[in-house]
Amino acid sequence: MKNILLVFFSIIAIQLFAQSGNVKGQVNDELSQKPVSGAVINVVGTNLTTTTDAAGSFAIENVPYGKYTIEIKEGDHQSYTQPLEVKSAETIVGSVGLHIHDSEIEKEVDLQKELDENPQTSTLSENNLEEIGSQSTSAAVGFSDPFISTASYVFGASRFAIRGGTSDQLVTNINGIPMNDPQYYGGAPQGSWSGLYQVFRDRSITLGLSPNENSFGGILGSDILDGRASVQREGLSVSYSHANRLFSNRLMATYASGMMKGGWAVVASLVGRWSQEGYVPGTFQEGYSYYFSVDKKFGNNNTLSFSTYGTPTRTGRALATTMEAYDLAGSHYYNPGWGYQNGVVRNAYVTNNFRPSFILNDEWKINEKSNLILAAQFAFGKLKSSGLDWNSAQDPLPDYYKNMPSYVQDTLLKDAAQRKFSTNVNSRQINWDNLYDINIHASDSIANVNGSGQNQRVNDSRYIIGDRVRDQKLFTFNTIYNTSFNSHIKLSTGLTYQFERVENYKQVEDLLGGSYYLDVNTYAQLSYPGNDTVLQNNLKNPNHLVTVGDKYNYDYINTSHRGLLWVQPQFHYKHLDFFVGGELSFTSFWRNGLFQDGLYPTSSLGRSAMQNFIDYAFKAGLKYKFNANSSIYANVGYSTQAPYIDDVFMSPDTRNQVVSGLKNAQIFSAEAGYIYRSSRIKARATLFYTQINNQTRTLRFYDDNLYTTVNYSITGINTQRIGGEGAIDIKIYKGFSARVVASLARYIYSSNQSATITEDNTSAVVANNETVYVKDFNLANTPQMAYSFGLSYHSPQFWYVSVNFNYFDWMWAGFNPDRRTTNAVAGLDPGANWNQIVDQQRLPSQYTMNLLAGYSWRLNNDFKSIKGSHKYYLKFNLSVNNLTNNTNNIIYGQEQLRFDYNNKNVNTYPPKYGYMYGATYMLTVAFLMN
Amino acid sequence: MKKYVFSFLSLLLVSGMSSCIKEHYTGPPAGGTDPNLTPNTTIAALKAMLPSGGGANFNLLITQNLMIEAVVVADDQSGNLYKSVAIEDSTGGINLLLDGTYLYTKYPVGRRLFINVTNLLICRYNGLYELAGYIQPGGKLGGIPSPLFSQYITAGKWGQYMAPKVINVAQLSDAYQFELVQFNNVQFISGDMAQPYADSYGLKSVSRTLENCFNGIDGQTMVAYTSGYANFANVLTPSGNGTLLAVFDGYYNGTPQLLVRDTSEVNLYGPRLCP
Repeated sequence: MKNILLVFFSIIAIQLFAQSGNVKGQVNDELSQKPVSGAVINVVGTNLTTTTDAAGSFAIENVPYGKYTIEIKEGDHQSYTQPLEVKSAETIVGSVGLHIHDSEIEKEVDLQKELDENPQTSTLSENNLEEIGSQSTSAAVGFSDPFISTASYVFGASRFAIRGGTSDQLVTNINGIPMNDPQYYGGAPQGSWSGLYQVFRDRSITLGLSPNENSFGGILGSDILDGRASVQREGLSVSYSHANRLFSNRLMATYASGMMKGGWAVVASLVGRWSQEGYVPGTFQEGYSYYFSVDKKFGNNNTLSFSTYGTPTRTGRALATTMEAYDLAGSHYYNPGWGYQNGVVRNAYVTNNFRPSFILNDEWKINEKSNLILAAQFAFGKLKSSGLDWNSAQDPLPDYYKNMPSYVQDTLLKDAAQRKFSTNVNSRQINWDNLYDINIHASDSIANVNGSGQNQRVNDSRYIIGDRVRDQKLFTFNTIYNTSFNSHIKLSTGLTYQFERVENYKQVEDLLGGSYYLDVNTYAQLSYPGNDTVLQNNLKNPNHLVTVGDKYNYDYINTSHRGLLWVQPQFHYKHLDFFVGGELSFTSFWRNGLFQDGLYPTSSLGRSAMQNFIDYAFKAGLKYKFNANSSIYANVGYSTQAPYIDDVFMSPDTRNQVVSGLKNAQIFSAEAGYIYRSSRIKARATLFYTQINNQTRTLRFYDDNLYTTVNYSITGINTQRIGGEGAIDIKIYKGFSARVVASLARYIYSSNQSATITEDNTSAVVANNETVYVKDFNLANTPQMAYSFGLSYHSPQFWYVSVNFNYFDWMWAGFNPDRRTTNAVAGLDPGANWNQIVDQQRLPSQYTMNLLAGYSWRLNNDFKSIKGSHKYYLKFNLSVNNLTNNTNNIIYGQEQLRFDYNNKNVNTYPPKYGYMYGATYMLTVAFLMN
Repeated sequence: MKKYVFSFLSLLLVSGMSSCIKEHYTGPPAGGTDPNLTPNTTIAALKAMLPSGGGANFNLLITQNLMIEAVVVADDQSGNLYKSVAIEDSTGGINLLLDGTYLYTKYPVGRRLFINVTNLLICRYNGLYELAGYIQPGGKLGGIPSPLFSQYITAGKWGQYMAPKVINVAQLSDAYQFELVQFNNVQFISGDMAQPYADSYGLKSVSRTLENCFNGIDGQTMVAYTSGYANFANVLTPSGNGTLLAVFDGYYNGTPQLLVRDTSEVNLYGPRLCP
């Protein structure tokens, strides 16, 4: 490993003789005009903070002259920021009105994050399985930036990705620990803290390249969540919600003690979510989330915090399917993955997820200028996704193309098949009785059973339920150091180390009536007739008869180490802020095969070559503040990004082979924007540009004509994202306010790509660096145009109503790279058939309307017997999404990765789609004490 | 206040549960059950619907409300049959064309089937009797499509024993088409003994000739016709004389053809009775 000297720049401390003054103010609740005590006032960019007293007033002393932003946070209310200019001995901020949080409205973090976290990639088992991703929007907390607020709450239902970005471009920290998972395409596993938004009210999002003191961030920015007990205000919240979304009922309770005598603080949150059946038939959820944190403050300077959380959840999934299936079933929510068993709905595709996390965090306020955070996390757990598996049998899914009426050639019989599919629910759902019947009576004579040399007649299941398991152990260490040299210069620096070990295997979940399942790769023998070795998934245990709980098919461990170091000085002056930043990281990973695959006996067992990558990143930017209200800013950044582990190995289920031509991707990013803030208007407009070159992706699917898994390794992926986003939020008159949000961009592949295609069962290299002609194709499944118009009214009688109307367009379906090769169109002249094969499908535009309403009842007012300083509330909230019940909004489209080369017919394997839910509601009743 | 906290939290521990799918679902009874259906015709009667002198190929759409009951005597498990199963009742046998794969998982040898033949085609194709779903453009027969299997076929008990017809080569006729037959005292001719049943490398079907010895000299012959896709294609034919159990596949160019289901049914290990 090369020795790399880090020399970024030397910081010359400039000692300026600066005058300073005091800042005083008063904080009230906007509607009731009652003072808000315990609100935390922070002068952004400095270490100056204070809290309001019982009368709601505050005073900050010795604030150097200059222009700042003042930030006010209070648990019950939305975060508030306002420009502040200090140019005299005393500055009165005046009366600041805070709004009640909208966050009692829960926006569900979707648990089906696999597809969501990787909008540009395909899941591992494309074999007729694609899951409809998020139907809800991302986690809740009031965001002060109106664009982020709308993009998170409202646009999420249409799978809007801010700036067309992917989840690895946003760094998420929880309690001082970065959550991004290097072995999962770099995204943060939102599902592992879903439902816990009540403890993460202290949350700040920096969008884009602007500096954040807690993290160098990604090109989309950073999301910093702080759930430590000591930052939470004392209070209790218990709520019950009823909904018709993925869950039907939800119970939440959160208690925070606030800082108690002796410097202790605790926080506990428990959430339970249940549904018999969610919005889509066959889906359901049974999930619990827990969070517990205990902090101890040592003296005035040191806070030690321990937190642990987890979200054991069971979710029944929905599968995306073809337009033919939706049309014949008569519903856009037809889900082929379930069937009746003894009259009860049974879904074959269930996800079980539990990954508890333990975080120890120490924050040391070294002095009034410097702050050090040390944090360590240990997390472990299993993600299990179940699905049907079969051996020597036909694909049993009702929407398998050979089971569909479109496969029937004779017109009369096709009509009969269509009628049957449309009218008989059992013929379009999984026939469990049939599977059990077949398994109970299955009987095979198996040679060399379990490697014993013996022949045995065995009742081996043709169909089973198997789990794809990711058994993860993760350790992260993070340290963040912030110091101010004077009132102008601040330095942030940090160091992170992550170790992760994930064992990937398949496990038998249910034998569906048979006694065993034979763990062999039956189709491997097609290319090597008479060769029994190639049949074996594990030569160490040939012809293994597995039962419930046994590992089968594949078993390997991916281990990764990652370290990163970042430095970011920031400079603040009267009118100008600027910063630079740098980050250096190394990533190292390898695969360790535990099964010796019969097709690849010398390259599957044991360790692969170690893959080492070094990445670096630079960014810089400036912000010019015209006055207390408006500023402009511009940032640029350049970084490299190592390929992800799932893209590096050609076929990790079978062997250690690494994709050739691996490169670190190069990312260039630039943005410029204008911000305006006043007491009535909050506005921002930003132009952005990102060019990412030389990315690598590997897609895998099962081709049932060739009877083999096919791997597409695609290199030379270059993407360009260019556009603008903007939002303006205006308080019009008394309680009325309006918000307009727009995002207009182009997200395209800026060049053709190169594909190497291999077939597992034949070891054949079908194509080597074959050109994939996708220049100017669009990034898939996210609207490149999104508009929102919203109106709200907040009444002084403590109720509110809010309506928004949203329009989305410029969305394209995901494409099959194989169809854009010379091979795919060989022999065809440009014309109708050519275009059908090559063109990318554009999805239709869509609109939605959402409604929010709520009422807050201050119990102290009506129950005079309530003594003490505590306030009690009963709050009611209603949220209705897709008010007009539009069930035609396609939010997901993906071409199948199989292509009918024989007939050059794109309709043999048609694309699969997912639809947005129709009207859904959530009604919440909450009791609060604080 | 704190005591209210604890009681609220403990209230949460009493959670509503969603229904549990029984973990020990055992499925339908082993052995299966026969449905409450009564056949009203037979395989021989269906064949009789076809005119006898109509040439080698003829198709007739069955319009009457008819049902037969038969047992599967040959399935596609070995790969020797493709997209069809041979079925036999007390009156004869017929080839049932089914447009699907892995038919043996649901309709294996020994399964009793109740087949509603209304709207199916009774056909004679190249001299062979078949039940088909439709006629393809070009005249080839098409099977019942897999989404419609359960519309025409109700499957009953598994493991039904069908006694083979014990005959000798001279007795073979079209009446035995698709029936399970047993020949005693047959052997492969010397040119076709110890040879692979078929060509698994080129995936080509191969005919291996069998003979009935007559007083020590070569007698009548018939052929075991095996697909290159059969899982026993590589296995070498036995060199002795003995009992052969197979399904009679009709005549091809005047030669009787046999479908071997499994090499364990080719029990030719005794001393040869003719060269």
